Amino acid sequence: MPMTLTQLVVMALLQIVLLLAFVMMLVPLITFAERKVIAYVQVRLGATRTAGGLWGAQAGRTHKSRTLTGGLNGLMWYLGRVPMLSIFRGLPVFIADAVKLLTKEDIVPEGADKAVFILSPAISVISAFTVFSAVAFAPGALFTFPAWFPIVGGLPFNAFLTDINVGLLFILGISSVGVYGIVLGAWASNSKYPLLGGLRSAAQIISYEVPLTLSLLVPVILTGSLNFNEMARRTATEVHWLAIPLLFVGFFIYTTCAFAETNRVPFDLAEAETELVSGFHTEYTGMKFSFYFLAEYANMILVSALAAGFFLGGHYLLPFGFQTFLMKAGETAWFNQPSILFFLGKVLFLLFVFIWVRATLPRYRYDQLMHVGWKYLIPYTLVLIFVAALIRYIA
Amino acid sequence: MFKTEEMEINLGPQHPSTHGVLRVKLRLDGETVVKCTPIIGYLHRGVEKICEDKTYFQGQVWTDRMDYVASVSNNLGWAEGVEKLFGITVPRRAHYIRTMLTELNRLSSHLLWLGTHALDIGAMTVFLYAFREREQILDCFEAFCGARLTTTAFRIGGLREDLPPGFIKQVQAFQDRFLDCLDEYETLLTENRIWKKRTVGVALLNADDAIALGVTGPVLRAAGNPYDIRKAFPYAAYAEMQFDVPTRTAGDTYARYQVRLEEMRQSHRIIQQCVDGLPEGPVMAKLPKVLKSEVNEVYHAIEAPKGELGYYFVGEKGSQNPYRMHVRAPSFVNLQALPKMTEGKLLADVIAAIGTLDVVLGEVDR
Amino acid sequence: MAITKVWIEEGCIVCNACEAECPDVFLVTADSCHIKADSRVDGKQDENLVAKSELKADLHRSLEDAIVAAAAGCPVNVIKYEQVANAAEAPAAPPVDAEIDAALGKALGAPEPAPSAAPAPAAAPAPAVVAAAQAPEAATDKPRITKVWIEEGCIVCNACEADSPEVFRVTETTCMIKPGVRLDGKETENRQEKNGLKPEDGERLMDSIIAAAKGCPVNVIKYDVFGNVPAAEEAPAAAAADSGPYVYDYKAAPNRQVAMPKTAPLASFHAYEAEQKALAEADEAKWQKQLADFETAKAKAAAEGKDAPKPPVRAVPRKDDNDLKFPAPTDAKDPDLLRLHALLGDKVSQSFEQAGELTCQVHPDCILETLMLCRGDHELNYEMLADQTATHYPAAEGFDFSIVYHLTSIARRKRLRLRVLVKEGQVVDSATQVYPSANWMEREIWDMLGIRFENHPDLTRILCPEGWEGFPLRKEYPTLGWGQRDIDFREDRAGVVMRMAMEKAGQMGINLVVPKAD
Repeated sequence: MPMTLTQLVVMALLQIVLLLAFVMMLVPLITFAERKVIAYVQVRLGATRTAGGLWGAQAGRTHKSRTLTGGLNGLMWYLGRVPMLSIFRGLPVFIADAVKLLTKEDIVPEGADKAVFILSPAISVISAFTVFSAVAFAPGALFTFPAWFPIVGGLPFNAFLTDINVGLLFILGISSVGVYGIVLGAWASNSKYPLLGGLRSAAQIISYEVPLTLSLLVPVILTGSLNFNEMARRTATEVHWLAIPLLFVGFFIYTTCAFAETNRVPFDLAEAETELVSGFHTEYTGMKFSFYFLAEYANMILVSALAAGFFLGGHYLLPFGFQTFLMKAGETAWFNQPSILFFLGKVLFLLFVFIWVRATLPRYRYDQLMHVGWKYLIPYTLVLIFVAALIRYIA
Repeated sequence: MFKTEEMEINLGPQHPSTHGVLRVKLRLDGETVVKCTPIIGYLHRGVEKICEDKTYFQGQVWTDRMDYVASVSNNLGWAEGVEKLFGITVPRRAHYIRTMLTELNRLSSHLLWLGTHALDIGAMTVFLYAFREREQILDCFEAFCGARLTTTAFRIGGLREDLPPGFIKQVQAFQDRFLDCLDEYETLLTENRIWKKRTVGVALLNADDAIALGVTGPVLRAAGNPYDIRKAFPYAAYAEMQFDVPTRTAGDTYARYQVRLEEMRQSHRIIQQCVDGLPEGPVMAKLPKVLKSEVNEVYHAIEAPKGELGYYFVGEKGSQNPYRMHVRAPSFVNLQALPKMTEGKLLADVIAAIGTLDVVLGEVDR
Repeated sequence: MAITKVWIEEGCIVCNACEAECPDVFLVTADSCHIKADSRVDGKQDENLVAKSELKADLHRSLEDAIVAAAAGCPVNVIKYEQVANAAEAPAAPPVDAEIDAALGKALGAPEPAPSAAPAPAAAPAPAVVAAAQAPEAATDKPRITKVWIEEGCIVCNACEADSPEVFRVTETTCMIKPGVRLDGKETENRQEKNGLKPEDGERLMDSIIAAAKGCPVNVIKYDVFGNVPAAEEAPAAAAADSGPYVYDYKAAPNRQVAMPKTAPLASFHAYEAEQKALAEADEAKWQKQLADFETAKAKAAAEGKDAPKPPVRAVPRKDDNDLKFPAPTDAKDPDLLRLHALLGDKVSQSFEQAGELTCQVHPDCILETLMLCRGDHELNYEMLADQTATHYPAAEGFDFSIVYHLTSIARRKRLRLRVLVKEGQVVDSATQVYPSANWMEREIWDMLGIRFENHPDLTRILCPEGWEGFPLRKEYPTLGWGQRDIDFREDRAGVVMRMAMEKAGQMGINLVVPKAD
């Protein structure tokens, strides 16, 4: 059904708002999950007391409050009594975090290049969010608007904003703009630790961009497409069985590069706290800092989504092309239906891996990081691409 | 048109990983350290001057505040130094209890080192694990003397009180699980590739340089020299204890890590011997109420967790205060080796070197 | 002396104080204070800040005192005036400022401001001579106080009035020298004019004024003395400190005076031996005297036919029932000490053993040679300089410092102490050439005791900041620090300071909460 221009604009706006809200809500939830997961790894409890702190400690604990917030609070404390659910008591910490960041004093250091200083977090965060426009959370429509709905009534609501045929190129292109935010912010701070952090970051991200892109070429070659939906579908359901180990290896190389791309442990050199205080965002406070923060976690979601889409079977159940075997059971079987839940499950699992690794591994040194990138990852990916091309030729 | 310029950067005095208020002035060429100048004194309180105004009994309280991570060792050095000055014979039971507490303190100091050192290098989980065990040790101190950190555990001539009831049981409970905990740390670090990459061959210091710079303790032993004052000049009950002095020859950060972990195992062994062979008897020597010294001059050194901790006393005839008190702080002397270990290396190695030297700024600046 | 101009600076809080003091000149309006039109030459009525118009000539003298009082009484010190003739020009705003600040600071719980740099001791002999020259009418040559004045910074504490009620009068805002004792008969702080005291009062009230000056918590009471001050007033340490390379103002802070050690405890076998010998000889002499006394008493008793007295019993040294046994020094027997002695000969002043430790004292000129021997000689082989430090002996004769080097032979499990005695200002060879570990230790000795070392790579202060005054581990260095502890505030018993602060704060619109007394 062709859409009118009004319908197009309204639908796009609705999708944008939903997407932004989704990512923006996911980021604080990841930070909360990070607190809790790391806490459990480190034999401690993590945040357990925010419920009382936010809405008045007494209200929740005594269960006597008749107000809505008191009741919510009471519920959280009640659920917190169950050992497995004790996270509920600390859950509001992500709101508290956001409130804290919003209300912090916004400092621009003396001697900083003010315009660039303000602009650079924006560059980071905009590039991080723009990329999501090419990511498909589900291959088709999430739901259809009921007919009585104004303007867009009867239209399907897609789980992707755009379905461009060079989606991967778009994603890589836009996401690599994010490094400008880091380098410019570091430079504009007029401070030495951020400068070092920014230089590290520039070198690191540019170095790891190469193997990251090369490893993504493997599914591109195997599927012959650059469209997100197409690639996700074909890597899950239509790959040659010889390509399964290839996807497996490619996934590990991609994940390694993804850790470096997102400045996470063990490659968090740009913001190595114990070396560079806070790296490139040392001088940033308040909302500007939280922009970097948002960008970093949005990037984490993005790289997880890409990995889930291209290596882990996308919207289908099984990873690494194993779904191909299941497809023989008929496309109507429930486990052969693409679903947003499969996709989100994989993304969340990868995010958990990010946190898990952070709690476990020490940090590489700068020269060792370069060493790993240029001497190991790039040659390996080149070999992979060659093999992928070979398989494609055979198939 | 283009030229490169060396950058001068201040690591500290307020920095997450300079373990206090150490300031290191670095000249960097990119990330390579060209020149490294430690600048100290931000925590200088003049303990030596203060102790000149305090009696021998009062002065011990100040020793807690020097190496606050290993205050029991500091107390032991002071108490034994003063006992040497006066020629006091301490009962054997007191010696045993002192040895036990000092070794527990060595464990707590090494655990803190392990945690913070790993944290500096980026492994954050070990820190929490190490503190879990350290907490148990501090509970033992609390049971013994009421304080967890600034213990003032001993008295001149022995101990103020005998062990509280249940103390041995408490220590034994710790002893029973500690070795497993050590294995747990090792699974996280010892064979970890990144950990080895960050520590093997980093912050090298060979034995000759170490001795020339006065470096003692685990740093010297990791370079291959088995100098341990507990063996070389036995004090307290160490002459009666069976233990080995772990050494490595590499002289790098990884070797120091191994030496310290092995030392923890040996400390565990010593504590077990103290617990098993604790003699009966008094814990305090018979002393006059007021101690007035003769003219004397002593230097007494013990093996603190960081190295040789020496106390130099000058006694004045008929005086209750030391005429002069000087502390040979192991951290102070060891820190001299920092430029030697880091120049020509990378910025991240400076952090590793500071961590591996295990300096406590309260002791460096006194 | 006359006031020609008066004006109001910005910042008037409209408090009516000036109008109460001098209604002829000041008129307090709704928002500011004005100089009245009928007192001014130009006949306008405003603050007079811009115009600075003169007062009418007939008011120059008649209202002088009232204007001065009003200016002094202004809580925010915005009343300024110009005086001509022999008087000093710009009067007196700062003192009140400082004192209000102090009072407010106290009331607000802020730390007390450090006192302004204390001037040189007032009782120094030089001002006394000047005073003598200025007071030729002084017929008597008895010591007396010629002038007394209050410096800036009075905290209105009533202490001086309690000590010397005839001289000082504490007002609401400051402390005045009473007119009765002054030559000019005025009542001011006497800071600018420095008017003299009446000679008879200066003599009679001398003790009480000195007591008041000493008791002043902020040391703002200063005086000039004619003649010699009684000996008790001279702090003995002050003279000693003045002669050093740096000067501490001991007078300014009585609680920072240092008790210098009277002995120089330098462990030494010779000294111990001599002491023991002297003790034994004294003991023997006492015994011989007892014996002789007994003999004479016996002979006397025999002559008088009485019973013979009891023979004396030689006193046995009391044995303490404790575990304390002083480790006495013994002569050098250790092969290391003997070898050092053999190698160095006369350069070794003494060597002995005490408490199991070897000590070898050498001449300061050959310390480098000795260290090289200890390091290089195959039989000595002391590889490590474990510690190096120094001690200050101000009471010693012939030397001021001892520097000790604690050497360790790791291979042979031995320790050796080398000791040199040096004088103030003497430069010692640095040990860094032999033992690089001496680097920071010698820097610490320079920092703490002020001993210079030759050929040291970087002999700068290490623990104290560059430019620190004095060497902290010297015995004449006070234990109490600079600054805040110098001010030993007396208890504000009557609550005067607090009350004033509250009043002033109320006028300035600050709502103060009275801090709870401990």
